[in-house]
Amino acid sequence: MTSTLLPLAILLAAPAAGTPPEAVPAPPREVTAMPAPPRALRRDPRPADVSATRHNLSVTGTGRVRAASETRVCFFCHGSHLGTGTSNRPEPLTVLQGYRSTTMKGRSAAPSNGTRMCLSCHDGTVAVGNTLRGRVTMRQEARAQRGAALDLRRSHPVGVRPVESLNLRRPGKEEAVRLDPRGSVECTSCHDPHRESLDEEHKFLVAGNRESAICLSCHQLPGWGTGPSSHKSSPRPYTDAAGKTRLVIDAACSACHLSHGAAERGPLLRPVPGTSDDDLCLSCHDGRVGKNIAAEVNKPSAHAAARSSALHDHGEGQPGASRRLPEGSAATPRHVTCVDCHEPHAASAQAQRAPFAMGALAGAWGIDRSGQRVASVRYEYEVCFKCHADSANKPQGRQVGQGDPVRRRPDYNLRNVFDLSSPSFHPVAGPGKGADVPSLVKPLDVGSVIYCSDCHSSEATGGPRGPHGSVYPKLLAAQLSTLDGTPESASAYALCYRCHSREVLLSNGSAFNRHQSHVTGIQADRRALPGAPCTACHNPHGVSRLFGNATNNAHLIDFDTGIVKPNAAGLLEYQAAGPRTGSCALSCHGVEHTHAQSGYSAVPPSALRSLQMRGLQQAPLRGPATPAPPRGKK
Amino acid sequence: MRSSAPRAASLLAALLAGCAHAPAPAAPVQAGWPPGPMPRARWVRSLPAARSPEPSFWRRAAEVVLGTEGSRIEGPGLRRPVGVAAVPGGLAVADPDAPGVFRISEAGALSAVLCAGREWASPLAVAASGATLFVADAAIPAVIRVDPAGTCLAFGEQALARPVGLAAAGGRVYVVDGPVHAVVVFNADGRELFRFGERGESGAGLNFPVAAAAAPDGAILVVDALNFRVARFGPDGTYRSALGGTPDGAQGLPRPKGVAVAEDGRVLVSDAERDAVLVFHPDGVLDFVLGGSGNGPADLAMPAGLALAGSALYAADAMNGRIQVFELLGDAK
Repeated sequence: MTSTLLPLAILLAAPAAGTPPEAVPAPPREVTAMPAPPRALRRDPRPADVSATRHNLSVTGTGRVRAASETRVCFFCHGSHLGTGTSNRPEPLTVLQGYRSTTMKGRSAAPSNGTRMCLSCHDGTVAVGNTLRGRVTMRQEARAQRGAALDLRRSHPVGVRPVESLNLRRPGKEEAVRLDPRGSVECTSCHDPHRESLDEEHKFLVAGNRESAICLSCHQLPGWGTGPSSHKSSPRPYTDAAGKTRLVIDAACSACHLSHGAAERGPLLRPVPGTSDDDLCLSCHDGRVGKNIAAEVNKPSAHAAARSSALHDHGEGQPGASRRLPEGSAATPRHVTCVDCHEPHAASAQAQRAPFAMGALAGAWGIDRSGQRVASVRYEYEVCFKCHADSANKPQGRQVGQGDPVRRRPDYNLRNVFDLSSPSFHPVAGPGKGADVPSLVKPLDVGSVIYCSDCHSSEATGGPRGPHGSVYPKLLAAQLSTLDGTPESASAYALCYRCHSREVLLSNGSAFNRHQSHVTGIQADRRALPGAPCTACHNPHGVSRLFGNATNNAHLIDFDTGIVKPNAAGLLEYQAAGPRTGSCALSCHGVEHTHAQSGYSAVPPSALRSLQMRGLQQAPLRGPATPAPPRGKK
Repeated sequence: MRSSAPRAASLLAALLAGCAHAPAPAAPVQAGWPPGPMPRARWVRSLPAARSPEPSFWRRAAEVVLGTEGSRIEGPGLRRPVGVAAVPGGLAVADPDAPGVFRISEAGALSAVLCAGREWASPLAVAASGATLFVADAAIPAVIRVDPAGTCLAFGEQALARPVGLAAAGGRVYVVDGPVHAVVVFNADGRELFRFGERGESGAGLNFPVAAAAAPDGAILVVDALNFRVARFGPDGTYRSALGGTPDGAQGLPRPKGVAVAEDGRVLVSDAERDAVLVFHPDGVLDFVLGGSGNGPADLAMPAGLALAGSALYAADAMNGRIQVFELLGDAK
């Protein structure tokens, strides 16, 4: 395809972009479905009896704290309502300094007098909530729980009128959890101060809270209600903040969230020691409950290796959000946290086959091939494109590491590289351009699609999969030397050899019949030149649709100009000339290549016939007699 | 109970504050209590002076362009000040939600009081004896003495269940221990001298005491929260009298939180349910009520600790995250 046709091709490709590649079937599961309404928690019909609770502070009280002779039970809370005192408060307090979140849509309302009544004792002086408990547990725990009783920034919002959305419903009037008559959430939405023991932990809740039934009365997270969410269903035991062993399935929301005494930042997350945004996740995913991701992210090349702190925002990337993602400015600090890739409410261990997003990514939002936001990713690469495509703050290009290949026209927007209109690419967003790849190891074939994480992943066998961390640079799953003169070995290019058979390549049985001399450096005349790494000629991701063309950049050819130089005629290019046929004009290791002299043809006539019979001659190739005009030097 | 003047003033201030991006001019708030031509107290200002200032329009525009908006971290400030004490050169404030202990200079600047090797857990009350600070940290639980040089001494870890209130007078520290309904008296070096109070509804009985103050005559006034009163004890712990005693009515103290005693013997009690400070004559008769619910310039939201310095009254305006400064206008002698 000539460069003049390229814009047209882009235009034509645009409507199709974002739709599933044709060669792959539709996703077998849907994680964006609106969850079914939960079984509503019904209000307990029995009359309340405050005298049987700790809130009976009179002499008849059952708790440890009670009066010596005062017999009036209601008096302690409702005394002021009996007279002219404050019951007719003319103008309720309009603003309490409460919970704030970039994702909360609810509107502030004046907290009800009931809420104010609760807060007037539960302020740490008269009643303390869970701070007292902290005193008898670990010191660290006490710090985590400090101020828990009243710091409204660390508590579920009160005095807020919820707005119904995909994730939030308003409970009905007959339900146990209920809104204030004005439609706002108050202390009394979840707590009934007159009933102590409807819940197992005697927290004055309006109903039992097993599997977070109370939370789920309003909060309906896609993936939690319908999908195979691991956090919803895991029967694994873990140790909670108070040192108690619970099952993940029973703890449900409270495994990660606290309704009171949560960390100030973020959506009411359980405070844990540490400053990184990932510390909460890693407190279980360190091998004790979940797989040991903590070890992965501490490897030299890792997502979250820099341990982002306070840089992730739960509202980022949403339409109208103050924090844009992909980032629009090179000055925005880059970040990566667990929840950038994982939606913990929906994530599961469900396996998938490329390119479909595996259960671990279920429910995460992403960027599709056309650059549009998708609320719930269908393909793994859509997660990667959040930060490795259009973000303006990608570090590549600003810092080229030692030994990194130097490309003439690098495009770090991987959406342009993996676009199906690109001249050649590894088949991430759809099957690749190569119709004839003899080196592929079964079961891979030219129609296969692979994950980003097939190459970028932990190097450890048996450890957690996925691009969490690796001892190899670029978070690669195996070694890939990019240094000129690397002695060829199975380990030097282990990454490539995982899919491209070393035997086939080095026996010259591939579509290019001179791999052996190039990679090993051993020439036909037994001269030993430095071996060239795979990356000297190939750009592993592919060549951008913006900067490449099908003649010069077929087969991922994109020379590392740190190794490969222009020849005496000033040319530095490859020309594809048909199936298994082409030529190079360049200078490498002192060897001059010209198109006239370097032409190769690895096609046995029988094989060519066979290819033609399979209709594969339509690969974007030119006849050998009409080489493309040399491109101008950059 | 509410004067219309402060409300009108706060409305004016709100309107002015609504002007886009312009720093709110210092609106003259004329709030006085009791309402009428002869106010006996007026609102002066709020502390600390302007917290980390709002970023300018241009700063915000630049952030939008650069994409760094939202990455600003809020500076330190008061969260929920509960305890307050007058110290030479300003105030000391205890804030259990920060959590921290702070000094506020006369100019209104906030600075943290730190103890080497020690973190504040839930400081609820602070008292001063000269330049020496005493802090009640409920969650440790202990009282921490902070000397002028900055050295710290913790005491009472064994003797106290949950120290929530403090008063310092006559070389002694009176520590209100809420859950055990008692006041524990220490000397300045942290040695327990004696204790008084037990669970009860009247006389020397206490029901969730939460704060204390020393009167000029040496008496100790204890806020007896769930008896809805302030009880007066002699320096040796003998019960003398009480004021309040009912949660309803004009003199009612439904949720008393803090107390201070003026030079002239008047007793000031803050109430978190009324969002007000009640000023009582020495004989226990209500004089007047100042404050009112809201977050306007002269309003209170669940006030807690009180402190007096001359005619200045400092009220910890807990839920508004600030200290309110009032002036008691000198009339009653």
